[in-house]
Amino acid sequence: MSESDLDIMEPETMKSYIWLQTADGSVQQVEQEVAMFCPMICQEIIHKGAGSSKNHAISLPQRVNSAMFSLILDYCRFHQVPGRSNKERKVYDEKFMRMETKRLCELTSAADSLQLKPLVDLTSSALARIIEGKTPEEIRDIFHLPDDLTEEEKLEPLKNTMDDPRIRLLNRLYAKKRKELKERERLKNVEVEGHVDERSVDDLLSFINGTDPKVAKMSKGKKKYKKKKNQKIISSNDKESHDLHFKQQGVEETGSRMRDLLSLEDEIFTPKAGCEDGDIDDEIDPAMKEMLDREVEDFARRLNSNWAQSLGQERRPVHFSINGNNGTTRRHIGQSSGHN
Amino acid sequence: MASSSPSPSPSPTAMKEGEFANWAELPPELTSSILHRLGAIEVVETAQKVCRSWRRVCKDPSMWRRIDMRNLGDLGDTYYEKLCRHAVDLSRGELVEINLCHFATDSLLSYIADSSSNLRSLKVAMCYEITSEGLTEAVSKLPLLEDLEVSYCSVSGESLKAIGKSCPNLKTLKKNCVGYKRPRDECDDVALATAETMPGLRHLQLFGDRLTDAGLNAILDGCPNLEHLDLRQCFNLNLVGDLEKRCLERIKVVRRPNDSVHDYPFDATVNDVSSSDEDDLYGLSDVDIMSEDEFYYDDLSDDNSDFDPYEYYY
Repeated sequence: MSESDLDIMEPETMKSYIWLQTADGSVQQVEQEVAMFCPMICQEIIHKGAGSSKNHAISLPQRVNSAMFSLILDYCRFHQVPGRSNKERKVYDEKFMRMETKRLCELTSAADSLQLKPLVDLTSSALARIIEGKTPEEIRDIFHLPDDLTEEEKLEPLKNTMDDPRIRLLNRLYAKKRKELKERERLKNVEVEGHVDERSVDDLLSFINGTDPKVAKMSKGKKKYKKKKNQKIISSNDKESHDLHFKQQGVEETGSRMRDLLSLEDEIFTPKAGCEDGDIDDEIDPAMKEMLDREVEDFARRLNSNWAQSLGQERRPVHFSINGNNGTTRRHIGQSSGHN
Repeated sequence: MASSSPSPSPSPTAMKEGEFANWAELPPELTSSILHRLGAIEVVETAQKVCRSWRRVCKDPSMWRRIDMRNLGDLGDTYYEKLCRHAVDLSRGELVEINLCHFATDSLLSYIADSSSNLRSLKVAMCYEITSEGLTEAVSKLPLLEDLEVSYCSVSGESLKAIGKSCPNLKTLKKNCVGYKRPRDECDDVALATAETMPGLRHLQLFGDRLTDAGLNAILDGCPNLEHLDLRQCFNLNLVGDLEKRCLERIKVVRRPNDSVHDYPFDATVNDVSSSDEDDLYGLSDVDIMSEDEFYYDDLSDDNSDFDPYEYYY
């Protein structure tokens, strides 16, 4: 800061003051040399010419409230005096740091926003000393930090003196626990999000069509029926043949087929209690379910368009639910009540 | 302005009186700077396990640009080596400064050098596992090195020459060892290696070195930019007359052989054979493993003094 700058700022009075406003609205005057000890305030004065009057008070950063600013001013007032010895300063600093942890946090934050590095260093070291030697729980308590880590993250051990058999046992237990946690996570993901089914379409089809050995538990009769119908419905992508098929069969049959499809689905996919009991692999069900859902929806869409064409009436969209309508699904067909 | 109430009540606003110390106000850079002061071990074993935001800070490479692993406890060298490697991994090649005491080995140095070619400062002290070859090998991969300390480690003159050639930017060298009061074997290996290969040197600390006046002259010739020269406990030197003048006129700060050791970071106990006031005759009772000199014990038999120190131990 050049002398000319000082000249510009100083009025004719003995001591010049800077006007400052804290985040909570209070405005105050501070001796210039004290205020200038804070780099942030210094910059405001020099680069923006602020602080010269009450109306042009320098707005202090959000993190600086009146209480903290008062403390900071005390610190600045002491240290800006050039004549003090290093020992004096050290003694002052030690006394200054004796405060509640809560205030220490606030003070660190405030000093940081004012760019007062020596004070930030002082408070940072004090905070580090508080943290030192404590357990994570104790630290969380003191600083009101959330307990938001997973058990696995809390368990990452590095201490690994292999010679101690107790440590080795502990490590084995940790590894086992971590494995369990991973398994649980994986299964949870499968249930909740669904599972990327990487099997080919053929595999899936063969499952539906009952050639998959896992589906052996189904009664033979239904199996055959399902096989025939599903092959026609699902494997055939030809809309033409599809339409023809439905036109030929008529609504009732279609309805019963749908019913069968649905009931079949229910039989296969009734969730088993716990993974241990089911013969059915948990991994397969959600994917199958999804696929069948899609097919059924597709079916329904086609049904709608077909009826509209074949019956020459206003379409009434087919409403039916996929789940839990065991055999009671009947649609209102074709009545031109003009529903959109 | 709100009046200061005597009983603090919990409030959502951070600025008002609350019950808890609220860490949440601090920006991540500040959290990082505070937690860094805990040292590598506590960061990995404790700070990282406190909460998610601290974990993020602790795993960030910026936390690991400077690694300080001195003043460790008794958790075992294997553990410390493991932790050091972990810390180096976390730095993701951004390591700038590393300071190790006691537990470093050649393989650890190699590991550091392989992943941290941007290293500027390497300091090892009292690492008895480190060999000259290991050190040379590692430093050859650190071309940007500016600051090197190898105190109380076995490093030959040849090794130092190679190091000097690998690191053209070297500005600080510290190679300290135990001082010997009695004139003993003189050795200018370190001095000559420095003079020959480290022309850019600004700070040189050779505490306890066995260099002679010739060695010192070589240094003054070879290192014209020296600003700081520490020759404490270099008892073979005779810093008088022209030599003294030469030192003082060119170098800002010179610590002479008999200067105070109050600000020396290591144990400055001198091995003084001829001293009669000490009960501990040769420092053998505190096994002096800081010595790099393999001729140490042989010297005893060549000793011309009245004492046979061994006598007391038979």
